[in-house]
Amino acid sequence: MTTAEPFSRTDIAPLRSRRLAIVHGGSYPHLQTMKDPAVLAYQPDFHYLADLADGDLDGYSTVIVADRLHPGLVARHADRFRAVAERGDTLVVLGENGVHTWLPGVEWEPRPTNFWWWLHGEDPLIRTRSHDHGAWAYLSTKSVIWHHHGLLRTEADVVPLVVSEEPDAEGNPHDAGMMLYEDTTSTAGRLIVTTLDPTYHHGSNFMPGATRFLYSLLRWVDNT
Amino acid sequence: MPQSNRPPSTTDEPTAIAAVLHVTMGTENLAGEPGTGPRVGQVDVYNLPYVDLTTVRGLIIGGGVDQIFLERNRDLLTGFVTRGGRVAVMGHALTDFLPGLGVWRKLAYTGPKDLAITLGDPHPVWDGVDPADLSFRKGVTGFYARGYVDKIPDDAIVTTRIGRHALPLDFVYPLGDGQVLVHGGNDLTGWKNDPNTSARMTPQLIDWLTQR
Repeated sequence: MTTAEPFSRTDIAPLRSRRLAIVHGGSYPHLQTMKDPAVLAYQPDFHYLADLADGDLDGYSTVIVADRLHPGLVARHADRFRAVAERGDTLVVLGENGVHTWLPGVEWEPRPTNFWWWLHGEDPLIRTRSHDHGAWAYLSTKSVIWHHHGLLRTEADVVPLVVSEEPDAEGNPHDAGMMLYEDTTSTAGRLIVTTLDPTYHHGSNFMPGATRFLYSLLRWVDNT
Repeated sequence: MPQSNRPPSTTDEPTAIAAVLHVTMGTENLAGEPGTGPRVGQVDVYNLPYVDLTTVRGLIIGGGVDQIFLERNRDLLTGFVTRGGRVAVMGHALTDFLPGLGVWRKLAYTGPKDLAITLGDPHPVWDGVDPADLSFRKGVTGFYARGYVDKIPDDAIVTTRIGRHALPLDFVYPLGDGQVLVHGGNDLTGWKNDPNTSARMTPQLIDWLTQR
């Protein structure tokens, strides 16, 4: 048996000021991500979605909703998530969370997931956009071009950061939808929405690009 | 979870629950698809405590399932196995939701040989499966597993191994009157449509789960 240490240790620095919350669902990739020292360096508070209660997300400058959460629980807590951006703070919504069902004006269209394009030099059609945007001080192309789970569209005045450039009816390339965007106009705060699912792939030790995206996303929201 | 999550009563029709239930994050169809046998139903993990498991022989714990909730229901799961049920645990077991799950260890890998799968002790679930079909999927390695297990029960058999050092990966052990199978990767049923011997694992897993 482990003997209790006669002192307590924590990853939370006494003088931290910027406050980050990550909402997770208790799945193994989430639990693994929560043990990663490179994530802990950002001193997030982790909130378990099934136990999320009134006031739990108050006071955070950034709340990240981890990818692939239980759809019923996401629906139940959607008003709490929206409130983060509505009060003026940053809400990050990661992929496979049915965001089109609970963020107003957002549409989603499925696309097959291509795990194999890199093997034979196939073009995954993933393109970066808005290169003057501050996010590109943190994100790299390797961190955002791996795969995705469908495309997002909205009429709101958002900044597209990663898109799918697909042929239109005439065969001309056009931006068919977004995989990552920032929206600072729909709410008093900021929405960062993506169809990428980095905590799943990082936490399952599967995809180096997903690890890069998770780490650079954390740097981005920590600095802006 | 509030009571409103309870599924509709199935007490009038006990056969409406399939012999094998796949535990999921949100999808539910307790009876499974008709016309398939043996049927595999689906149960949302948060409804599992409210489902009558009397006629259920096997559970597949999906790899994406909330393991905090599973650990809170350790007694339910343990009782199911010790009374003769069989459970197939998918994913990396990071909480202690059944006795004997061992400790999952992350593999540092740099190339295909680090993640190559080899077969270990014979077991009906992997019978006739070519390990090359597990190691590679359309030429890409790593889909089957990216880690190994440590501290497994003394009476476990190791059915697959991983990497240059043939480290233990999948294992099966008795628990009371039942058995537990642990696969440290994505759900084995995810291979059922692959055009090679890996597709055999799904029917063989269902067969194994329904035996007592």
